Amino acid sequence: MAVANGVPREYRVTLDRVRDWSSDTRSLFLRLPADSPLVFDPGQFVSLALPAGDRPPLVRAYSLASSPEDGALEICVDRVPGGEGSGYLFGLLPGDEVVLTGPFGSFKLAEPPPTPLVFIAQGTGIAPVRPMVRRALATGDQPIVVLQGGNAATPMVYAAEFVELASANPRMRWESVLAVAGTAAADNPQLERIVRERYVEADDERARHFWICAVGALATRLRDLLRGAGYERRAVRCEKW
Amino acid sequence: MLRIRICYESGDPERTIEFDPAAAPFSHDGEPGSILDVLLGHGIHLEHACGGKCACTTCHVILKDGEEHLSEQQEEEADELDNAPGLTMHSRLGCQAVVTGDLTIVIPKYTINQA
Ligand SMILES: Cc1cc2nc3c(=O)[nH]c(=O)nc-3n(C[C@H](O)[C@H](O)[C@H](O)COP(=O)(O)OP(=O)(O)OC[C@H]3O[C@@H](n4cnc5c(N)ncnc54)[C@H](O)[C@@H]3O)c2cc1C
Ligand code: FES
Repeated sequence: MAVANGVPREYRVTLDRVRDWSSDTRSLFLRLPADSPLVFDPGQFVSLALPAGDRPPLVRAYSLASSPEDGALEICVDRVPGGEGSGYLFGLLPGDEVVLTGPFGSFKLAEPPPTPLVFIAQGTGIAPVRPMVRRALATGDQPIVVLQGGNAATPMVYAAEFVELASANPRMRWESVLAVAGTAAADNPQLERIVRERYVEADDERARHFWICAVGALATRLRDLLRGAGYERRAVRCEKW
Repeated sequence: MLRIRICYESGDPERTIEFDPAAAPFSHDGEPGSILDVLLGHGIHLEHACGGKCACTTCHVILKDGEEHLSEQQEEEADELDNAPGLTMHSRLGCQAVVTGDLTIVIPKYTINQA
């Protein structure tokens, strides 16, 4: 079936299988109906309409952690304490169906700009970064840095894959940046310090493009740090969950 | 009590709701007391594909009256609004704009969700 590129549509998808990264972080692999491809750009998200909450549907966004070329859709979900949407998703069993609409979002990378690319993510915020990095590796030749923030208590999802990609591609560097014990999961002062030292204080180079993804205020702080340091507004893309 | 009059570019009949801002939040989504929160909490549908997190523009509304009765636009709303189809000088994101006085809004016919 011909589908206009990127126009959001509704799909009824089936949960094929799950992959548990930890007791509270899980990838869900969703199968699209055979005749309905979902055309999206790396970094975009889908909107799930869940029969949850006191006024269903409960609408929640989940980034596509898979690449458009993969066929099956993968989302990587954190169980949020008391969260009705994520709680519902953790209760799904293979064979269950979900209604989603997509794709959405301008936090994406379709064709990488010819400048150095820096991806900064905390926790599961790395999910939309994964397909963007794969796309950048497949199409450009610019340096790529991935700073994957986390802490000792949360899983470093997709880290093994990033390590492999970095060893196969000399122009890509991947680093894990763990917050010290006791830091709240959504915070990472170490990550903020590294970004400041490297991309604000170390040089006057301001051509880099950034993609930042994190829950809550950390995303905004990183964005403001870089924009405030002279990077162009549109070169600092930020998705706050 | 504050009042929001809701008009539809599609020609659907307009609606008016009255609410007590001190009773916010009214729903699960958007900034508490935002246009999205108030509408959803009063049984009026407004698209909100990202769950009211300022990431999709499907909650785009156009202010016909009372624009000054909304919270000031923050940087993330301005960033995201840039992507709204049919953007006007009087556009806001329903999930971010918190209501502080009476308003008349128009819900555009085409959002990203129905493009
Ligand atoms: C564009 C976009 C993409 C998103 N992609 C993903 C994704 O790929 N994976 C994912 O797990 N979530 C993602 N989220 C968050 C997701 O949409 C929900 O907000 C989240 O699942 C919580 O919903 P809830 O109903 O369970 O809890 P709620 O009661 O609605 O949420 C409570 C609070 O939990 C916090 N929160 C949101 N997400 C997380 C998280 N991942 N970990 C810890 N705390 C969180 C927020 O502060 C939120 O306000 C995304 C959000 C946006 C806007
Ligand atoms: S609901 Fe997505 S931007 Fe307002």
